[in-house]
Amino acid sequence: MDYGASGVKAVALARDRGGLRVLGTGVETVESGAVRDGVVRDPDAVGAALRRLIPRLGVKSRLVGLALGGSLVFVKRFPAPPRIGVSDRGKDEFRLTVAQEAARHVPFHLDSLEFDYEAPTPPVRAAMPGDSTAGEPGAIVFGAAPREVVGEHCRVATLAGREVARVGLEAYALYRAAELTFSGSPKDGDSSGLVIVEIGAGRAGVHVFRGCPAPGARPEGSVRAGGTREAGGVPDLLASVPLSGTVPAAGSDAMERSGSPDPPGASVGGVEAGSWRNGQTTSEEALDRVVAAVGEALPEAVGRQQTRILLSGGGASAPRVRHGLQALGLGEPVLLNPLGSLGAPKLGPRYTVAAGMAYQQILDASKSRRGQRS
Amino acid sequence: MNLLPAHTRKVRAQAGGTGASRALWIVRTVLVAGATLALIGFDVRSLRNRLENLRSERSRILQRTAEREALEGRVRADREKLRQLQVTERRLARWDEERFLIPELLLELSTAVPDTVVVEAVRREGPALRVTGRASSSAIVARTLEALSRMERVDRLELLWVERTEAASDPNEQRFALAGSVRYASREPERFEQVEALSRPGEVFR
Repeated sequence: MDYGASGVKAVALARDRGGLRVLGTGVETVESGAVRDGVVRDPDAVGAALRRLIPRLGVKSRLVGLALGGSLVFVKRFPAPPRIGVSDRGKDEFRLTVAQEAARHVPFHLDSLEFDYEAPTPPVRAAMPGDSTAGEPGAIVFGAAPREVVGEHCRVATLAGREVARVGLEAYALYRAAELTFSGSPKDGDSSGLVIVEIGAGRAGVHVFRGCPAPGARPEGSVRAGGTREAGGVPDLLASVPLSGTVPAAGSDAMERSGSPDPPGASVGGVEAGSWRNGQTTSEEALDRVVAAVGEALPEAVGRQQTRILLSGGGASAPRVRHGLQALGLGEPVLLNPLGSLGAPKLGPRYTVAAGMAYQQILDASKSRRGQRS
Repeated sequence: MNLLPAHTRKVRAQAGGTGASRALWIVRTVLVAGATLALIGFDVRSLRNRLENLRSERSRILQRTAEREALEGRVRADREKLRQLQVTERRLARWDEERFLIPELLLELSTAVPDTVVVEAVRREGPALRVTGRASSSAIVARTLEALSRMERVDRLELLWVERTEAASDPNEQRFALAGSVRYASREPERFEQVEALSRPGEVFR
């Protein structure tokens, strides 16, 4: 599931003879302001939309996965503290140590947050030449969101009669979507870095990863030499920059039609949807800010020529973004289309986050079957 | 990374949400279901045995009931038979009473015994006859016995005992007792309105 300002999007995937199959997709519009900057403001309205949407998917799955994004989600990266042990007590103490370290980086009390962390699997060799973090013993990516925000997201699913199995970060969902996208691509050489730019109707974000999903890879969850990663491994998230109040409130179709009506309720950060319909100034400025944020988010030592850049969300098709990113020297941006390799090429980048979360759920299930930690 | 609260994650995992825990849940469910089915099988078998026992018990009870009803019928028949026997017995007793009428017997006794003999008591039970009395001497007792033995009414008679009367004024006075049997009356007995055979002191038992 992906609760966006333009509507609630859902993707249902299933494992099918070693591959993946799309069971159903759908989008249901929500009232204006029901979801703003990634935060559910009106759970009843979003829950009602979800109730209308789920029967159309035609799946009986009780568990759903949600992705959180926006400016209220904190993602911090810092060196991993030494591990105490592999027992449950050791894990608890390590989690406490991580939380104490994270408290120095997050401007909120941890008691008011729901948090988790990942220890990315380091690549065999330095992924990005000159990257200072490449040689470090290990890093922790710490993610947190206000407890109320997580609770509201879960409450929406509960209102629709579903239970939430995972509340993931949008950045990781996008990475999974990239894995899906590349799984159907021919192998065209390794890339050391990955930048995913999400331009949605309600929020935007720039997410930088070390390593890139291997083209044509099957979900194995291992790390490849050369910086690329097999699908299913823990992504090495270097930076995640939310962009609030700067994003054009339109889907890609609306952007391309240049003035056609927006999805209902599309307004973000004080920029009303109608404002860019009347003239493209506002949206162009917002897109320029997205491009500028990408430039700022990239570590200086990153080799830009070896970095893939992917675009996601309803605003990903805007030519201005593409041109701006090319101007940054990042190469040709690729439009994320995770469901394209699964036989649904026309769905485009709107379902990227939902598809990534669905794929993450599949990975969770297969990992749990193999006895790994979910 | 999963921002879902840890306790919720555990609950979902225990509920069979994902992966290995789900497989474990399935295995556990299969085991529990198997154990439940085995228990149900044992219970069904036990119930079947109990049902068969109850059926045999029921047939036994029905048989006993039938036997009891038969016995009650026999008891009723026996009671009816007993009642008829009692009626017959009462009728026979009445006949017997009428056949051995004491007044007539006493009349004959008083006629037969000498005047010096005092008949104190005559007891009759059916054909059995017992006579006690006093006589002025032992010879008189012997004569009395002989005289009574000659009566047609008396079938058999013998002397039980003779003893001297200690408190009597006559030192020769003897008390005696006779026992024997009387014959049935050959004719239909007649009713006597009044008996005057015992003009002397004595006691008559009917």
